[in-house]
Amino acid sequence: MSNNENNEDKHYVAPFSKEVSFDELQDAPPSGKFRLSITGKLGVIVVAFWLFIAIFGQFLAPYEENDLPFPDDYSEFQKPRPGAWLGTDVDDRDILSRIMYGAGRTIGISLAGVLIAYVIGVTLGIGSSIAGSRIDQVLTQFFNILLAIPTIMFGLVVVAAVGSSIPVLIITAGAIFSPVVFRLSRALGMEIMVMDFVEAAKVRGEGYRWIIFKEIWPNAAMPLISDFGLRFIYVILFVSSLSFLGLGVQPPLADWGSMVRENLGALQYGESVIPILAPAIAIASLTVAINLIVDDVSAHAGGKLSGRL
Amino acid sequence: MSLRKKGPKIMGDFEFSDLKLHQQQEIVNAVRKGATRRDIMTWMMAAGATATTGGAIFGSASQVWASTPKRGGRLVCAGDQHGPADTLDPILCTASVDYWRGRMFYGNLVRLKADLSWEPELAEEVLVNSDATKWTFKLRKGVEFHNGKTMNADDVVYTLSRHMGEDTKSIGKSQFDMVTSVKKVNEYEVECNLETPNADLVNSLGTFHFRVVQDGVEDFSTAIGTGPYRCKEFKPGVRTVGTPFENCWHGPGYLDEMEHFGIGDPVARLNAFMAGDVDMMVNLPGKAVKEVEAAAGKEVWSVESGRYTSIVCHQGVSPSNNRDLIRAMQMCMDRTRVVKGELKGLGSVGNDQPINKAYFDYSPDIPQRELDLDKAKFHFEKSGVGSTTIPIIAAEVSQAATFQCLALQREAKKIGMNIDVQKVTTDGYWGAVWMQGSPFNVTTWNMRPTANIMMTLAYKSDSNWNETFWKSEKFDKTLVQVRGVTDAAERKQMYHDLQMDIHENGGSITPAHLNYTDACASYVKGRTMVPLNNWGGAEAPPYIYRDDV
Amino acid sequence: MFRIILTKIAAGLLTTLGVSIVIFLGTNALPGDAAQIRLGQAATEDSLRALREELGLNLPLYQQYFRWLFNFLQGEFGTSLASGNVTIAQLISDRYENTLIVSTLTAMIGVPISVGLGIMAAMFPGTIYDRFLTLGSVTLVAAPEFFTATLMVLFVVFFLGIGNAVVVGSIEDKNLAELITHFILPIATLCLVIAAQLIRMTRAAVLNVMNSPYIEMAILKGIPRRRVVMRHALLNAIGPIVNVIAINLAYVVTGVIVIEVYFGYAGLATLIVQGVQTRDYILIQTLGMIFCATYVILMMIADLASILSNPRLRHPK
Repeated sequence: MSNNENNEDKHYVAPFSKEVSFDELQDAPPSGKFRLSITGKLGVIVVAFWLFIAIFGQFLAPYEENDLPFPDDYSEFQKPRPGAWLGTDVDDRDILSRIMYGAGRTIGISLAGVLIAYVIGVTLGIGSSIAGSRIDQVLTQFFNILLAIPTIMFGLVVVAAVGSSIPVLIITAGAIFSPVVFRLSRALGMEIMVMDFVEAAKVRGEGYRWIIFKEIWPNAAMPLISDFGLRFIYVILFVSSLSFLGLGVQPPLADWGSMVRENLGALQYGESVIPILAPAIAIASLTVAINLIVDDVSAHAGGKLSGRL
Repeated sequence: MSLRKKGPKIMGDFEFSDLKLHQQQEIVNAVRKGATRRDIMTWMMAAGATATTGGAIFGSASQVWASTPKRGGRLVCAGDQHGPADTLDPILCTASVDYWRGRMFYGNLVRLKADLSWEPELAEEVLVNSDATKWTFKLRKGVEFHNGKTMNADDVVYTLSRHMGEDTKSIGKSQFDMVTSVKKVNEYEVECNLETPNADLVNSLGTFHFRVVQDGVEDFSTAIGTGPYRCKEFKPGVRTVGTPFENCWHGPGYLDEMEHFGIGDPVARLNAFMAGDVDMMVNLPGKAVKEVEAAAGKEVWSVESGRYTSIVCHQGVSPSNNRDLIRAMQMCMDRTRVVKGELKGLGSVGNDQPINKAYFDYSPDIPQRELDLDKAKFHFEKSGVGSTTIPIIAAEVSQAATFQCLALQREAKKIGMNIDVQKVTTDGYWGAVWMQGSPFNVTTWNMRPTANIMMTLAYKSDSNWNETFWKSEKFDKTLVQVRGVTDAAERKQMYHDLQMDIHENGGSITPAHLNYTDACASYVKGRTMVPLNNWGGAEAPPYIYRDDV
Repeated sequence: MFRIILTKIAAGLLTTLGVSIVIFLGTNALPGDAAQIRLGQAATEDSLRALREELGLNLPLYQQYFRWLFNFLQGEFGTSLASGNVTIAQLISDRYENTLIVSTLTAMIGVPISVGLGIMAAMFPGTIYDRFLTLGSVTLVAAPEFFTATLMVLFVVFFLGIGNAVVVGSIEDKNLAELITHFILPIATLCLVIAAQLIRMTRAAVLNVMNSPYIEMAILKGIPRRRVVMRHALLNAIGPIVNVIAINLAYVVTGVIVIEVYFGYAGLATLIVQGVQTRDYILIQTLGMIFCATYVILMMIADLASILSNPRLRHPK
């Protein structure tokens, strides 16, 4: 990748013990092209499918999300039948349409939430790792405070304070997960900063820009990408936990987490269990697919990622 | 008391046990209220049953009603939302968990019955002067509190005076604020003097906030009352345990122990009930009724009531004071879907006014407003609102509260009315949204003992809870006048006018009245049917027993 | 090294103080106040004013903060705003047993099993066993807690016919058998929830060490793989594993709102939800502080464990 021969030179300059030279083999930037395994490819296909539904689902859906497929029928949790291919939900609406509408909302909220967390966390985390001890201490302390507040409690208080709406959910999720991202990227930055090739670059007199973009970023990208996938799933779960407490995405809007919640009764007294299984499977398939990709990425990144989470 | 014309729809020959459980209860309830064999037969035949069936059913219903209580056993009762705000102080009770507990531990001066008439309890005799401005209560002698003290006039004076004064925190304040003084006449007699006449005062005294406490008590960490159970354990938001109070004037409670706590989540509550972990539960979702009816040994405990859920149209602000817009919205309301789809029939269609057939003063002559998109379109176009978004703030303050907005929104879209349902959380709703100036929001009301109390609370222009900010001098005048009217026909006409006035000119879109629908195991007997709250108006603790001990 | 420990403790205290400010300001931003909530639909101007004065809600914010912090440090948590006559200490003491029994048992059962499974997965990476475990744990991560809980209830209570769907009654009244039937479901569900993360993380941490050169050396020297994992790799993976355990334990104490609500027992996490619902600032603040302190202490222990187990962190450059 982007590392040049300078690094290689440096290794031979410094007097290393045997053990350290093994270490540097492993910590050196990953080399070679990134390849997906078969399971990884499967993951990409599933994620691509859901992204497609997320973007176009609402145009393809047979009904609008609050519409009734059978206006004269008052029975909920119906079995699949023509006109409602996955059956109807607790309020007699079409499950298929709601899954399709929900895809965009679920994925959109999580994506936006994670992006916010990443913009805040990565910028400050990497910045903090190279900025020196004073700023680093202040930022670390600040994010430690945020980290110490239990997520659900934080979400609960915020959403109760300003009312639940999609922007609020996104920003809350972003705020909740940014400390974790900060911690991860700071740790990555710190680790890379003390690596020999970076010290070499410093000795050579390279500027911060060089160090960030040529040294830290290539090394941190892979671990960050795989963490991004996991975080994404946690945001879906976080929003669905809020839905459980009545604070998530509000009716009649559909999102997968709240669909599982509102159709929980189907397991107890429903004619069909599809109303609850469909959104649960949607969440699970997306999660598993993302994880399959993440596994490939983190294997490529040297398998060290998880230790830092 | 005659039976209502509209009974359950049942056809052909069948036995009492073939009826849906809530239908059984309705009939038992009627028998308790004094319905005769003839009443029941006429009623059943009108519903399509044969004469023999009607007679047999009367027999079974009387049997159910007449069974003898047994002593012993333990009962676990699951309410809904509970928490640190749980209280044993009657004047602060706000939740149905509080009401039930109150009945376990305390007594009232009078007791309300299923038909909302009253009978003496701690007061042996209640006297009222001709214009209902002076009430005298002759107290029962020999009533003992849990700590051994005998109840006398001091306790009652203290109890009632806690509802009075500027600084009182009483929830029942508005039902008692016409009382100017409460006086001890002698050891067993108390007198209330009223500023304005109130013939309904005694009914109010039978409700949750007027439980009799001991003179001078300020610590409510435990309950010292005259009720059939004494408080063994009270942990707010955790649980309450009662054990029989041996010296209770009407005999100790039948159960060896009654445990009561809340399970906030409806799915979890139903799980607990179906698994047999709890013996009774409140607020059975309409959609789970089938499941409970099909299960062996489980019964639905449903009481028809005047409780309702409704959308409030603020009469002081635009656009909610636009008469044509209100009419259009009323005609877009899919009432049938609310009652059939959401409540599964355990409720009745509402008619944009608060009084339904559960009230004595209900007027059946008001035409039912139906879903009519053509007329709605006409009114909507006349209103000139056009494509402007109409925001309705909703919270699930009762079953169907959010659902009604969605049902309205769906139909309104068809005539080009653009409704935006803004769902907010239930907690904090009453403080932050309700009556805070928003043009449209949801509301819910429990049933009150009389139509007059109900309409006074929610529609009289100077009421603290006049949620629609409706001001009609004519209405206010009739409402106060009717309290003193004794002629039955005149009274009937006046109540008809009042209800018609709200129906035509008020600011409420009321799609449905809700039953109190709870569930209990079949062995739970001695259920009451008072339509003022869950579990038979929370009146059951003195009567409830286990049939299987 | 002593200095490092002291620094860690000082940082922990500083964090806790910062948390107290965040929590205090956050809770005050909630709409509606305790007086309104408590009076509900019945609130009138007069009764509101009376109650507000009684509760001290009319004081300036900073005065409320210092008053509260001072009392908190003395262990005086004050009286619940929402209930008026019940102390917060009382509310907590009514509930901590439930939380304690669930979190302790979850920690005792869930943690060793999950860590063990994770280590086994790391011992045989790439095998069917490993794939089954990783895929299983991923799927578990994906399921919302209330969904897992519902499936558990349906299976255990309604299908197998054992256990209770909710926890009824108090702990003191129960014998061991009853304790088990009442708490089996929340504990089992929680074990599943934390297992998902713990298995993945343990596996990754051990594998990570397994990739180090000295392990490769050991393997090259012909030491059996099992022994390598147990004797060499595990010791070095303790730091990250302890860290993950600490995060999960903190979660089991503070984040189990859904589990508590679903299984109908009163614990500390539900208490905070009820605090938010009743706008009981003092209750939220007190519990918030307790939760954060739990987290800070657990993380401190984890930090110390990783410092002790890692010579390089013991002597930072």
